[in-house]
Amino acid sequence: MGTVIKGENLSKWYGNVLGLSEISVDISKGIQGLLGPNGAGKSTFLKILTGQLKPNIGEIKIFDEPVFNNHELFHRIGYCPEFDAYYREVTGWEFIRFKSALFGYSKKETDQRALTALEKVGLTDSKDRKITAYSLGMRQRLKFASSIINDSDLLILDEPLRGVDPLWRIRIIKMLKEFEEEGRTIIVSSHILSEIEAMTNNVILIHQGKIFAHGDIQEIRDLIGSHPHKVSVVCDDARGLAKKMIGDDLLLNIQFLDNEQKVIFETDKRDKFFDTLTYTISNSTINVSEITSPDDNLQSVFDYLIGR
Amino acid sequence: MPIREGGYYNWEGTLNKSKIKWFPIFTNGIRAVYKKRFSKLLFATTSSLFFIFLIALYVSSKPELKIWTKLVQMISSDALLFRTYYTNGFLVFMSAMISVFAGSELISNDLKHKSISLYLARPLSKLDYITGKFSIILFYLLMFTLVPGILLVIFKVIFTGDFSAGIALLAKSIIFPVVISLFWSSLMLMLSSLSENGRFVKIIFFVAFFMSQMIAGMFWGIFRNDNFMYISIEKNIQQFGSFVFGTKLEFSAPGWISGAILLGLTAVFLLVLSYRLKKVEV
Amino acid sequence: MVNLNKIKIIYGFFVKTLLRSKKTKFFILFSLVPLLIFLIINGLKLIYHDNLLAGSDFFKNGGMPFFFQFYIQLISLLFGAAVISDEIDSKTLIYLNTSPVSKFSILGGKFSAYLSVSFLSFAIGSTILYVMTHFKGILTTKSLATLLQLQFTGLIAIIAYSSLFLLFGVSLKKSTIIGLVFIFGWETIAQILPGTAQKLTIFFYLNSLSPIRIPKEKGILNISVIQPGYGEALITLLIFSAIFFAASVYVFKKREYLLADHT
Repeated sequence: MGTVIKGENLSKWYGNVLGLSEISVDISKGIQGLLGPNGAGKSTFLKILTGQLKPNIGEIKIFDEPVFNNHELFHRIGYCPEFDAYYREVTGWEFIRFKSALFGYSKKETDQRALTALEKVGLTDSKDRKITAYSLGMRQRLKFASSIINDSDLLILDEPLRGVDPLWRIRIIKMLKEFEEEGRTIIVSSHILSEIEAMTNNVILIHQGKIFAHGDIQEIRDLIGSHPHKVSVVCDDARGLAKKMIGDDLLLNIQFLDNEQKVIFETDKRDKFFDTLTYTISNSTINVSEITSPDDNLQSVFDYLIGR
Repeated sequence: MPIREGGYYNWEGTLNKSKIKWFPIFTNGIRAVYKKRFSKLLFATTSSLFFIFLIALYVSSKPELKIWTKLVQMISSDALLFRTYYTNGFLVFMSAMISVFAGSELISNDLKHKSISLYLARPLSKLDYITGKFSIILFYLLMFTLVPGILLVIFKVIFTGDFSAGIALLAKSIIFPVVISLFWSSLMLMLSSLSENGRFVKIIFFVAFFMSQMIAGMFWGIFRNDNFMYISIEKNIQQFGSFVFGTKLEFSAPGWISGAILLGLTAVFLLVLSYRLKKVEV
Repeated sequence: MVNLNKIKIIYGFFVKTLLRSKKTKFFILFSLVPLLIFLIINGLKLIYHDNLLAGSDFFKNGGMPFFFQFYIQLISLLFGAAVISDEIDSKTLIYLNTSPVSKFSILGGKFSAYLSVSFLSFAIGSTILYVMTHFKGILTTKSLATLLQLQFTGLIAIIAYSSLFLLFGVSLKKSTIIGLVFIFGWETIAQILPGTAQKLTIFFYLNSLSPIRIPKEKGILNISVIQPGYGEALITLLIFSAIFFAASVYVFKKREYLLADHT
């Protein structure tokens, strides 16, 4: 797959404070979630990616071109910043049209693209109101609209759903998935893990200026050996099921919650465990009502890696 | 009746009710101003005047150095020396600079970041908020006017050994800087409440200061009537200083009127400030 | 790279926002203060049956110092320093820096917008004052020529001061304070210093351009530096402006602007 973003040994410090430490990253097409606690280095990384900052050491290239002071690159990039920043004396339409015009389109195309972007975020009816009269969610949608005007090959979104109501969250996530299917590259930074999970399985986890993990959530989860997988099964004979599952060196621990008719298995051989479980259930008379993996999600990956 | 509660969590202990609710605003503000870039340079520059006048005070208190009092008129009497200290153009300008430095963004930043409602959502009244902010500018102004003035009086007593003259001088050295500092603080805070743009506030402050001089000068130049000097902020400060220290007045018009103008304007500025804050939604 | 079309787009957008802003409206009203004073003075003279103040005298001794030693400097500081500082404060710089527009075009477009609005504010006040104070002879060629020359001088003054304060704005955090110290400190003191210190002020050259001499303080020991000729003063100011602007572009290109605490 063609590399869209390539960062090599990126380091950035602010005086004595280290922002990023020797980060190397290779990002291809698709949606990439960028995660990390406060102070992790996410914003520093995004600022370097968008040319606001220059790394002290290392190099970053987008579409094989250096980023800093390369304004032509932004014909192919759309950026939705984190800040709730807006020009006070203009309407939504004036702002979007201005952003659209900066791409150098003809007058007709400028207007058309601006209108399309506003339609996509549902702000057509409010376009002639001053931005100061918009709610936080509307301003956020306007920012998002400004990032999709140019149908960019690369979309960089910093907390794109902050302040957006649930309905528009679903719509924007759906839009991003459509962009992914069109072959675009999208980087989404967020603190809200469920949003990232709804968009993508591919994540970059940053902590203390370093990349802790990069790749598919499941694959990362499998690599966290210190925290075996937990699988919870609710059935009418929990102890019977457990008895059948013991063996083949699959299980590290079994916990019974008799009042809930639940058994929680811990295993470090996830795939083989599920093969055995499905075989066991299908060849027994045990009635199973629920199978879940309580820690097989992004939150757990996050917690285990960050060490909370 | 407003609800006054300890915070947004359940509190099982007893609240330590502080009588000075605005004190945290004051202490945080003092620290924030001190930490600003160029603060030490500004304070050192302003303080330099004290040392110059300390030398002048020493010279004026030594009979063997009387020859210098003839050469330098300002040290020929204590009243003239103290009046010159408090009303010279340098200290007036530096007081304006300190007001701008310490106070221009006190309320404008809160308006910009919409954080006034955060203050007022606590058990804090608008008066507490204003008092806290006001005290920050007042602190720094008094630090570089009242404190050096009192120190000069103390040194005067030390140099001359004469306590009686010091008492009257001390009273005057307290009254004058307090009135002037109240004026600067109220003007600065009022302007800060008028705009979210700190840069604009700074410029308007200087517009007010220099325009008052310019307009007074224009009217005086045409009508040759000293009453027009009451338009100038600097002239009012100097006139009031002459009145308080009992020296020759700056211009031939009653000196107490300058004091009344400064105090009256202080009251007007505070009224405008409280009106502006009334409009803030909580 | 210079893209005139993009400079035009940026110019149009920011002229629109500036004309709607409170600070522009304030400065337009503020430019009418000398006119108000003139009317009050003559009103008082009428009340006291005194001879009315000659308009030309008021314009020379009141209007000229107001506009050329005070108003132009302040408006240039407020607008010139704000070209980039306002974008940093409101965090909107990100929208410009992540658009396919060169830094030169951003600065060029914004600076010319701010210049235009500053000049408009100056032109409104100074023209109305000039017309009201030279009412009887306003339609003469000489009077109109003087008015035009005054506007040109004002424009050059605004360009020179604004480009200097633009440099302060892109490079320094406390640009306003430093600008105020320059205006009310250096430019005021340098006028009365002996020697060639005056040549390091913008005001020194303005006097050579202005058709009406701008009154200034007498120097220490009454030594005055010989005023340069019109051409020399104009070229010097334009060169100063070009240098300040070029330096601003250089700093803006190289500098990293942190718009918020890093997370």
